[in-house]
Amino acid sequence: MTAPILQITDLTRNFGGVVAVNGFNMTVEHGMIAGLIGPNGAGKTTVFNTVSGFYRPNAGRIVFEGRDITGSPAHRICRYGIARTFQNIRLFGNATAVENVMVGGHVRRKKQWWMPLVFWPGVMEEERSIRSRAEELIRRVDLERYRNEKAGALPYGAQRRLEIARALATEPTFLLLDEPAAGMNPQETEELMQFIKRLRDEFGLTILLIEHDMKVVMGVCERIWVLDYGRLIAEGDAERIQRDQRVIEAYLGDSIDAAADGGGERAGAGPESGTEGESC
Amino acid sequence: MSGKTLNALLTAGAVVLAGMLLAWANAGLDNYSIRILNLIAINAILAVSLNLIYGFGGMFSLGHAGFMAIGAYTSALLVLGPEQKEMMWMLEDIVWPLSVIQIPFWASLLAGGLAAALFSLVIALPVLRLGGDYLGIATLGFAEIIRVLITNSASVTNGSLGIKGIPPHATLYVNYACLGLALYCVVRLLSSNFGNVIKAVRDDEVAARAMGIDTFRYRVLAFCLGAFFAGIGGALQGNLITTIDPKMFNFLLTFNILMIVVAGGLGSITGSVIGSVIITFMLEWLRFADSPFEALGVTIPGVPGMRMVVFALALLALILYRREGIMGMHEFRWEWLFSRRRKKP
Ligand SMILES: Nc1ncnc2c1ncn2[C@@H]1O[C@H](COP(=O)(O)OP(=O)(O)OP(=O)(O)O)[C@@H](O)[C@H]1O
Ligand SMILES: [Mg+2]
Repeated sequence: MTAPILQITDLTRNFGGVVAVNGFNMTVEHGMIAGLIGPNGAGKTTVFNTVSGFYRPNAGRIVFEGRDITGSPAHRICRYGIARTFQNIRLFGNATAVENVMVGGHVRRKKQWWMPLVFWPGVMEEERSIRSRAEELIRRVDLERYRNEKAGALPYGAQRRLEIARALATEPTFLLLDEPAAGMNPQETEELMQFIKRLRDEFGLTILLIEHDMKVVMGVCERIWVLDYGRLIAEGDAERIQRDQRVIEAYLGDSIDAAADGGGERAGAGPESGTEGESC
Repeated sequence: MSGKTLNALLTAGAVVLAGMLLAWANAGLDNYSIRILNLIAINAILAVSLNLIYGFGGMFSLGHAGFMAIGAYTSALLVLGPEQKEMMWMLEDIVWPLSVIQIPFWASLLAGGLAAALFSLVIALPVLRLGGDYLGIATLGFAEIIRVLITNSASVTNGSLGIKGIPPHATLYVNYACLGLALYCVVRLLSSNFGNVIKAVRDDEVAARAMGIDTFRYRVLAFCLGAFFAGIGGALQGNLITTIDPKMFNFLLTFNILMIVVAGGLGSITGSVIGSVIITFMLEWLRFADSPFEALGVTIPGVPGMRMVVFALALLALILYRREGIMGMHEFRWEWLFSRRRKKP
């Protein structure tokens, strides 16, 4: 067995009196598609925000590919190879789809900002390759017809895919997806599931996703972590999670039956897409 | 021929044409008209530099007069001869290295830009972590501090007496060459991926950080670049008017440039250039409002400052009816002129 790609130990983060994440532990192996679930406000997004460097943990350690990244700034963590999307899509709305992805490609450039001014050797090639890579990624996520449209004007599902393409442009080894299926219709959701698996295989990624749509979670995640009030209440594969008494009480409730019925309906306080605003 | 080569040829042709027009203007126009043309060029440099900071970088900065003052003083102090400086400094003797240094005009321009950039770096580091209105207040304060510093450092700047007799190096050709260079640099930078990045930082800082962009660094960079060109603009202005004093660099100067940028369109270089032409003309033309004039058969007595009132009203109207400015965020492209359609996929 090789070392895990991501190891979170005793992660704690509070906001004032609220303990959003409380002593959370997680070990993700290379090449896995992992899921993080739990009721609204359980602290899932907070875990993402601390891993990706937007929040500093109050306690605990985050080790990525053998390197301690606890408290590193977000831009450096991206450089290390962790890319993410946001629960409330955060595209550069005024820029075109291609330009959005080109921004993602910027982190891997080798040339300096002033070099285009003096036509420094190789700088134009690099500019061209950032653009062609962006075009390529746009094709891979099937957004060609929108490539020169403003990102803000794209349909919802396309925006979600564009955000993933933009994250891929940073050439990550680890991808964090925060509710990728939120707001998608059943057909889009079905496509998304195939898409996520393909991403993992074609880009050699490890993927960790937060999702309320149990069909997606149970369908693609090889291992699932369940949070409730900031605490880990269960961990295991889909089958085990579905049978776990605490998970059923805290979160799944009757939504399992709903998913089993094929209705995909999300019931009550259980799984549904969060709509409340947040900082990231 | 590909569209790109054609555009490059068109641009080259436009530059040659502009050069010929300048030669014609230089030979055929009266001094007053040439002065207005000069002001247009300098205002365009200043507007583009502020647009870089505010329009593209999203940093509401009111410090432009300060950067201009630094540029103008640096250039003037370096370009004047030792004897001239010795004669002019009457409050206190001029300090040592400045008392003997004299460098060529072009080098003094560069020094003016670099000095402004250096000062901007010093304030950027603490202040750019602030956002929005706070940044405006902090940079406004910075510009005032610069003015007070200049007034009170008589041994360097000759204090409130100012500096006179700066050689009139900023000719029509020089000003437009500088404008051309500034436009080249800014347009080229913004059309590289750096342009996408700086706009990304402006539009969504959180997302930009998630993309691995050190947003603070890019903000500082855009701010200092803007200050650099503002310093050069200030230096040119000093060399055009040949006299500078601390009172010149007051808030009104920043205000005028801000208005050019807003009127032209935040985030449009083309807009800043068009805005400079229109507003420089307008400010000159509105001078009539300061003296008595007749309108609709009624004689209106001249009120000093009336010009600025009319100016402000015109801008108010613009903001009310076309908030995004003349150009919005669009840029001039040859395709518009010749309606060559880009094929859409
Ligand atoms: N920036 C913040 N400031 C204050 N409180 C916060 C902040 N971010 C999160 N919280 C709080 O932390 C708790 C966990 O929030 P988090 O967004 O991580 O939940 P979540 O599991 O992602 O929920 P959802 O499914 O609704 O997205 C909530 O009580 C939330 O109000
Ligand atoms: Mg969340």
